[in-house]
Amino acid sequence: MSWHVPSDTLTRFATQPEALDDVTASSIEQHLMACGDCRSIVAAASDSLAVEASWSAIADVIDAPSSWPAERALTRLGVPEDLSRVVGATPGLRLAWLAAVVLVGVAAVAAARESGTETAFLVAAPLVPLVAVTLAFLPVADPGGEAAVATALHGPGLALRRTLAVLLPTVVLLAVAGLAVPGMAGWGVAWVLPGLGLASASLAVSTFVRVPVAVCLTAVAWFAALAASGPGALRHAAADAALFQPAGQLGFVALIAVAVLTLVARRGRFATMEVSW
Amino acid sequence: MSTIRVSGVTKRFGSTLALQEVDVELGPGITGLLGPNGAGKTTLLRILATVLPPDAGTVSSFGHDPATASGRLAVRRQLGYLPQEPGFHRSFTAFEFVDYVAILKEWGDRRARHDEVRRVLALVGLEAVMHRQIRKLSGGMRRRVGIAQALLGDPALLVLDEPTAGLDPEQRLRFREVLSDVASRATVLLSTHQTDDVAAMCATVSVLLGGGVRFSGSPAELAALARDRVWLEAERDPRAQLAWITGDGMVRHIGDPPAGVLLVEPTVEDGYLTLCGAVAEPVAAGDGGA
Repeated sequence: MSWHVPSDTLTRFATQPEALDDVTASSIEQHLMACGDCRSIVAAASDSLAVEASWSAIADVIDAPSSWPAERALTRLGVPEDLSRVVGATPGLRLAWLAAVVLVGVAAVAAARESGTETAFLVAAPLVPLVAVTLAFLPVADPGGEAAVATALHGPGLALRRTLAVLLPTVVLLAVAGLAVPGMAGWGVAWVLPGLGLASASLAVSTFVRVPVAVCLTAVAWFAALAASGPGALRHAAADAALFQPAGQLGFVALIAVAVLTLVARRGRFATMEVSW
Repeated sequence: MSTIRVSGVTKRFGSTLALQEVDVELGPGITGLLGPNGAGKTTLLRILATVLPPDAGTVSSFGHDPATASGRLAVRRQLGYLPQEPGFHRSFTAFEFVDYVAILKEWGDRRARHDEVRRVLALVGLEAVMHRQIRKLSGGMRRRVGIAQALLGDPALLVLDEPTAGLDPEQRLRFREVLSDVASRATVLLSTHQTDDVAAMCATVSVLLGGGVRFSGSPAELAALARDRVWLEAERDPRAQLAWITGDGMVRHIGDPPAGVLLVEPTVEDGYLTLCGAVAEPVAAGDGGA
């Protein structure tokens, strides 16, 4: 290189770049690409801490992990970035799961329309939150695997946040689907308490037995209760079953209360791998 | 000085007794944990990592009781844990996985967290592939991703389950270098099948057999269990407890040596094999001499 930028100009370039006009700054940048001597002067004049911070900021943008749709939605709702990531990571918030919820809803609506009653929807809908919440609670479903279990944030608090995050879209999607069921106007929310009851009961039971067993026991209990609560409840007259009458709904409130108390008493099991498949 | 105390810990899975009244004390530096498959090593590590609670007995980590919620949280804030099978999410890159674990370790500030993630990935030599999906990494690289997440935050307690499994010799040496640096300011428990790792890195070693601790002492003391019980011959001696042909064509034997054979200095592996083959009662350090 036969010529060099004056050292005072290089010093200003390094410390006060805003003091240089665009043409001069661009010319210096072009020159620095080929001149090691001038780069050395710029490096010596630069504030090393500022350069480090600048590189850190650039690397931070380059390295930023790609985000999941649920994570972006939570962030837009004001949830902090780090919490959005660990809550949004649950399988219960993946598009595949939400698509499955929509499919179940559509199938139940189609079956209800075909039969001309709301029975298919009322029987199937409460089972969806059961599976959704189970997915949200599983330690093995955490993308961090077993390493994640041994971290400070892992525990009932995170599990509760994930549960709420999963329940909300699931309930909303099913509620929307329910609007398309003939005769659901009066029964639009009748499945919600049974759904929450089954989900919380399953979680409580999973602190005693393995998760698949708990889910199966709860599902079987649901069908048994339906069959016992009124003639033809499983085929064509679910809305007439006692479970969907005020007394039955109060029974689900009691079931939720008992399940929540059990979960509070045994919450420590969600902090370890004791609740597992 | 003990930082970790395990007293009378018992753990059962159904009808299988994984650990039976285990007593272990760990201090600063690296402690190796040896034992055959099914001896209870992973269960003990999981208990120390607060991933599993014991059925009976107590654990004290830096004075905290992990059986309580507050004690467990206090332990986890000082803990780095590499499970035997980390269970990586298939779509994560190495950076995303370590970043995810860092969030769970309460690294809330994004820029500081990313700096820390880059630091630990560089420590294990993965900076060049940190944005590659984990499913596309080799087994050894995946192992190093697991090690990296365990090193987040320079933990005071590091629990590592077979960290060198799948690492090539160069990576193992690099791992030893990193771990010896970490161990200068931390308590490290290292479960392994590699007796040469124990000999090279560990100040103390415990041997777990059949759910109980059968030996605790230094690697030299473990090796000494086989003193005057290891010999070389040109032919295999059927009276030996164990015998194998070495690289130079000689047959190395462990057992009760016949008269006049060439006795050799035992290694940690010899001591370990002697213990596995012979122990019926707990062996205290220093009991293994001739």
